[in-house]
Amino acid sequence: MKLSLNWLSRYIDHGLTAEELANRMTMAGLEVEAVHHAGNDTVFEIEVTPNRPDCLNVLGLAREVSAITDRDLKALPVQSHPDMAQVDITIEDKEGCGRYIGTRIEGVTAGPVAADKAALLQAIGLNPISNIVDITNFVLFEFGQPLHAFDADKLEGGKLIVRRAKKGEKIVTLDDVERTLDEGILVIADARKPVAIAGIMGGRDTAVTAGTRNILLESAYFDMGLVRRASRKLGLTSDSCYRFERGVDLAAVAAAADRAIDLILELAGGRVTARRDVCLREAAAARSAIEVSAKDVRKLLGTDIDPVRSKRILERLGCGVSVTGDSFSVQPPRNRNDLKIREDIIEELARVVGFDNLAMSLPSVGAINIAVDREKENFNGRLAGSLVAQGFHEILTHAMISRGALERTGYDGIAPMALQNPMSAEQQLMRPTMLPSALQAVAFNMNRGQKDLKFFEIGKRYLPAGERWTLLIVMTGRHAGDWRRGKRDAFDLFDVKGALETAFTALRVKGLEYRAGESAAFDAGQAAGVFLNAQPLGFMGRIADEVLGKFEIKKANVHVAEIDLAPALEALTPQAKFAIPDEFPVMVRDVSLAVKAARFEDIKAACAARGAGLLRKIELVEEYRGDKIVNGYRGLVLSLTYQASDRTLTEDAVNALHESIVQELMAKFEALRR
Amino acid sequence: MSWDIEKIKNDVAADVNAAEVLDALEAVRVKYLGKKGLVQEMYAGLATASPEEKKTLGKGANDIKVLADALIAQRKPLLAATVKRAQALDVTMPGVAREPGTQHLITQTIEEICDVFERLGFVIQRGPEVETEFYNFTALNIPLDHPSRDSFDTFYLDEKDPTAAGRYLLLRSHTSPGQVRVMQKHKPPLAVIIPGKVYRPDAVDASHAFMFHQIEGLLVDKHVTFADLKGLLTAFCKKFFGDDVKMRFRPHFFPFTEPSAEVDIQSNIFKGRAGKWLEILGCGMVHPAVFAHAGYPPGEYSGLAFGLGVERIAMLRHGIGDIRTFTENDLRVLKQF
Repeated sequence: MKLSLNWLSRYIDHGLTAEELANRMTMAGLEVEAVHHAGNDTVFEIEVTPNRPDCLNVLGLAREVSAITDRDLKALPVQSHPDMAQVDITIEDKEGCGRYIGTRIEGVTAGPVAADKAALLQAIGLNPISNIVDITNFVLFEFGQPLHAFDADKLEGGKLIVRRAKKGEKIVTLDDVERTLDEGILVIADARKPVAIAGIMGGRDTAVTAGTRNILLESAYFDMGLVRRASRKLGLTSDSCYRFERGVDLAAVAAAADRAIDLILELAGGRVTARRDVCLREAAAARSAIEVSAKDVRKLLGTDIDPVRSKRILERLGCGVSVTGDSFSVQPPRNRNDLKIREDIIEELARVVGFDNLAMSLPSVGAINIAVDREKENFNGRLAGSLVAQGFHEILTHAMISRGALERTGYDGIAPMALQNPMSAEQQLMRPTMLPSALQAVAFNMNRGQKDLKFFEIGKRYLPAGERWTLLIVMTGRHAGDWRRGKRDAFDLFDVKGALETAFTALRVKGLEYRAGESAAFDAGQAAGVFLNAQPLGFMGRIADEVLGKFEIKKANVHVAEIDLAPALEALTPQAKFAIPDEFPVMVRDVSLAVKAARFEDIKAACAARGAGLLRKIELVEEYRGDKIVNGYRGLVLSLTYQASDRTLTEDAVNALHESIVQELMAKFEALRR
Repeated sequence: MSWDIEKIKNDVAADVNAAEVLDALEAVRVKYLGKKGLVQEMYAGLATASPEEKKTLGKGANDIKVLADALIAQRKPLLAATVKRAQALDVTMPGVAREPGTQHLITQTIEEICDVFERLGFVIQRGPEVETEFYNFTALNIPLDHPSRDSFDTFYLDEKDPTAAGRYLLLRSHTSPGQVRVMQKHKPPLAVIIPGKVYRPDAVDASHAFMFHQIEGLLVDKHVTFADLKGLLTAFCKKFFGDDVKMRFRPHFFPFTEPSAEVDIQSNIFKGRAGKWLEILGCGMVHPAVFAHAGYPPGEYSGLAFGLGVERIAMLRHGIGDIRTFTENDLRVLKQF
């Protein structure tokens, strides 16, 4: 809302500089967002919150300034114009239109509006058009009541009907755009066609022009919801629409009409020949008074406000106030629909006094009724901490993705949730997997010359069954350099797996299993399903080159893991109990085997089964695949650690046990000793 | 044979000092203390010496032995160090470090803000991002078809709301729905903070994103006042932005609080924004209608609530000009924080 200070001064002498006034209004809830100087005038741009439609006009703002500065408003004389001969007005849609005042003024002379009013309109950014139109605009901004003037001679059949548009009916509005209407839209029609979209914009063909002699002036009250929906549907708004959809003052419909008639007769001549007031909805009867006591004020604000001052503030704001003891009975003005309950009245006092002038204290937070399991609460944070310590960088990607991006990963899971009103194709779906976002982050960085990436994200996937906290890890490129070694190994699946294992070990989540698996996103033989206590938790693998190509990632090895976190959180093992470390010496024996199809995990299990409680640790030292081994075999070097809790093991005993384990492996897995 | 003991002592000292490397020092040792060395030679001479000479010679040989031992022992570590020094490490070469990763600035900012409130006794709660109209609007006293909804423009999902016939699920447009969820679950006293993602169909530009983060705060008890709200948020701003931060509570409108305010701050830490008021959060006293939707008996409780935008605070604090920076995930940027 633009406010010209020259215009404001017609109704109040506030006695402040523009800067002081801007600050006082801002601190009373009418934020002055910008101040412009134009000639001898100053214009404020004020953010009027949607609960205060009464401040969308100069008189309303003058009332606020009166309360803020504790100064009187100047009187504004308006002559009342009685009903005369009829104007033919029919309100067909009684919900849509509560009141319609039509006034016929004959013999007007079109011309420029008086210079003083033209200056005020220009100050707030309106170009003067002609006296009649400018007067309707002037009263709109003065009273907040939208008005419209028709050229009476262009209305067919000499009548006005307020009705819903017919489907497919058309009107060319004042902005020269032809608009197609439907039954959801309220119009003003003459005998044959719509002549205005109610509350939003008039029609071009019945508009006042330089040659207009006789006018029909509309001052009406249209339903705010109906105007709002029509405006949305048509994508059309206006100063008039802005006020109707926020709510205009039903009781001001007549006063604004009278004010406009006064000004038209004064500035454009002519005489009123007919006036009809169709009033279906009376201004709301006085609402019941709101009781507010000094104690209520203290209870809500923690501050007392002087009762004499309180009374004056409320009266300046237009409330009726009667005092009994330390209680007020407050009758809000009829155009303040936002004043409904005690708290609303107390807020009025607080904002006019200024929030910064109220007391301040530190609340004592009592014993809170919410149990907090800090370990679970901090799970995501600790997981992130472990990954950060391992050199991963956390990324943040959008929860919405495009259908195309999802398809490029070969996703064939549960159908994702779609948005009804995405802003673009990039936001069509709620992601059922974080994989596309991760690959996009990789592509973004590779395009900027960053080839070695270790990223993670802890976020949500969104499925129709619910939101899932998820960990995504993505790695590409090589290990960080160590100048002592020179060679930098490329990341592989075991780096991703190791990162997961390190993090989950630190978090005391046990029981993760990995099973070879395949999916469209991954290279064959390079992926695994991740399981926790036999429940699927997610997957990991090497992204197939074909998929990478679709994300415009070239010549890269990209490994990814995506893991559901809720089951992991549930699988937190309790804090360990103390155990005395074994005192007896350990003995270590290595074995080098060539195996065909055996999995490490099975070999490990066979060792453990045979180890008779003395085998403490089974470590993989090396895997060898190459031509120095029998075709179809791979080499595994295992290191086995033996220890007893109650004695020192003899060499002979350990050698015998170790040999029996090796024999077992050879027999069970067709392994060869190397 | 006669021996000039004093001259030999001088020779020993000179020879030891003249040895520049360990081998030379060893040669000096052999010369004086070796099996065929001078000291042995002197001892051998004792057999043929007169009793007078014996006395002088014996003592002289001993003195020379002790002196040579001492001087060599003193000289040896110096020469040994020289050898090592020749193979000195270039200590300015880089340590073989593991480069640490980073947490995203948004995560860091959320944690830091939550931390301040946790120290004041608040506990963290979370709410769903996919919400119903009830929690996102109705329970917060926001009419479904009203301009006051305009500031909460919303993404709707093509997914029916199982709790309301004919209505659809949506993406929460603020973290405030968490207020009613928490109140329905727990009775006062309550002090919670609810961080999380929120969504609005805003055209994307340097200061608008369709997904961003908010932190909601809610304190409900028997006697919470607006003075408490001012005190709490002042304490927060001073902790977070420094003691010299300037603040103002500006009346505003939120359907779910009454009175409502926005907090503006000025701080020297915001480069190029000196003397400008910057809005950083919205707050107010919980509206009685919200308590009613939470199922609390009327008049029994009072509460304060606030909500702050994480991206905005991070942008102000770190001088980031474009909100899109946060979701680009440029490694060169991630490493800065």
